[in-house]
Amino acid sequence: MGLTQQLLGLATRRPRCYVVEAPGGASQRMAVERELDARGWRPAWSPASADVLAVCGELLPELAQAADLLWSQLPGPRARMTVTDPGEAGAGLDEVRRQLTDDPAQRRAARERDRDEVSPRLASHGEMGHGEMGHGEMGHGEMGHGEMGHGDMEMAPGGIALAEGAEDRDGLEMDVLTHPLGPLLDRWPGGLELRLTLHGDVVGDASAQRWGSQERHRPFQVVAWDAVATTLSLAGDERGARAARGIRAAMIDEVEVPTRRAAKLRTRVARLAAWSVVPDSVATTLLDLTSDADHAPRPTVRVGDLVRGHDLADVRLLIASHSPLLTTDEHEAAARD
Amino acid sequence: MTELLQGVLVAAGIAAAVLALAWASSAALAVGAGRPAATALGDPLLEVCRLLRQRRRTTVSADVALWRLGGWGLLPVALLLGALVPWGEESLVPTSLGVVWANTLDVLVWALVWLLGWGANSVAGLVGGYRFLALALAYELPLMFALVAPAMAASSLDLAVIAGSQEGLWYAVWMPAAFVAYLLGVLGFAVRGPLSAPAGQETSGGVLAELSGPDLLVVRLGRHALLGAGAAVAVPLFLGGGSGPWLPDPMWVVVKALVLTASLAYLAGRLPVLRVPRLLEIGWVVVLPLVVLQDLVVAVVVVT
Repeated sequence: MGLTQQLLGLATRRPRCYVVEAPGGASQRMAVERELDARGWRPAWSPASADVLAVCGELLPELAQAADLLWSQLPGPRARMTVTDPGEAGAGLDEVRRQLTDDPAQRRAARERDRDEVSPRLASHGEMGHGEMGHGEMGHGEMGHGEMGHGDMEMAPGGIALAEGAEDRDGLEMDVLTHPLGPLLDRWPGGLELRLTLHGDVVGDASAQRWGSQERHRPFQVVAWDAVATTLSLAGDERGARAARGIRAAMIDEVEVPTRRAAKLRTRVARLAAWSVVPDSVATTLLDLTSDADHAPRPTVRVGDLVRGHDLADVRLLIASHSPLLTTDEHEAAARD
Repeated sequence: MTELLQGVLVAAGIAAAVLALAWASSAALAVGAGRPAATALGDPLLEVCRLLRQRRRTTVSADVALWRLGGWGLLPVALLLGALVPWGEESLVPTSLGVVWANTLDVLVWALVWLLGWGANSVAGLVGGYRFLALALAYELPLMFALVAPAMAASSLDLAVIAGSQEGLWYAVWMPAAFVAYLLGVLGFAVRGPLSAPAGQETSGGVLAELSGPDLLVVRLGRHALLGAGAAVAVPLFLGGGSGPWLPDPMWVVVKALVLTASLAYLAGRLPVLRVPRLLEIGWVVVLPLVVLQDLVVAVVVVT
């Protein structure tokens, strides 16, 4: 018993959280990220290997389904938390860790899950097939299930619609695949849903929709440094990302921003952009904008135009680095509603 | 009987050494990425416990057999690489073609990583798998030409002979381009640091996106072990093998391999992920000509 307890303690000492932002939940997400940094817990980069699903902000009822789908991708032992107040991030993390440590409860939950979720995807296929909302598959594995309203089972092995053919940019026939990103995804603007038409791994077309409203009262500098942190983190530069999160935290707390560290990070980001590790926009647009006055008019970028023609791998970097400037195609959103 | 026992013991020793190198790689990588050293050293143990407790999962219509083969194959490849290294007088696998075998094993990784991406039946995985193939094009050719240099200088493909022929002057010193190209290749087949685009976070982990529990554990372990084993192979190739004062030969090999692994992983942790098209440019326009030039220099030196 002693050994089991010890191993359990080791296994749950630093759980991995999959952190997603609900629409308007940016400040909650920043609080959770800060708390994770302070504890030395590393986030999970995909739900498949996560122990905890952390939803930051309050979910719209429409997005609850997307969150449930994400939740079903966590292998377990698992715990779920919703952070609605930035001040509660620490307590929430303590609570999920306690839940993970509760071995009997986890075993019970796993048994129940095996019984209930025979195949959640297939079971939900019928009821979701007609739905106009794109309940955020996050693009891993279970993508595209049932959102093709016409997906008859013969053409859809395992409930996944087959790729269809279309002309590629060079005029040759190529398989195209509809690949959704969002509305709930780690390091992703809360509630942004992007439906990509992929030719191979190149985005042929993209349509975007935004669920819920964004909070607009945060100073632009915080938003910009947040975008820098997210972009660097996605580009695998954890050192730079942490530094950017530090600067962001100083701005939120309204303490003195370490100007030398900020300047150093700016040069680093500029160098990374020169090496095309991160999109140019981080260095040229964002960081220049951070030095401007808060009320200066800012350019906006339409999501669809931004990602069309790029690699799938570039999409998230582009979205992250442009996140403060993004607008979705309003007409399209209206048409969907 | 005693011979068999001895063989088993040596094999166990090599496995332990490769695992220790994997540990060093994991810790140094985390320190490079800005994690405190004490935390980074403990992380592997915590992660092993965490992932052993986590349940396995599959995806819809996954090609499970090939998927698992891709994941569970990486660690054996790393162990075989370790078995090629002459830790003492000779390697566990007696062969006069060590360089060729090392190259064969690293090419095997192509198939394994691609299968890992293919098997999950997910967009992220498949994109990751194909990105790896593009990346492999960038690092493999320079790596092959880099292997030519020490073999040519020693007039042998035997790692032990190559190690023995570096009296006084390590090949790393007068073949820097080949050494760097080789290390770049190690990062490539370990899918680490600047060459980790196939497992990049911008594609939600690419080939790793759908892995959980023990399946993820062996892939992570396998990649760290590959980095360590690749560095261990560099010891006879470029760093004079077991030669050195005071310590016995096997100790020197271990020490050199540890230091090389830790430095390489630290560097990998500090650097961001390079875009794949960018890497192809670097690999073929910059590194490849340099390595070929290096081979030419070595050939001229050997002939004269």
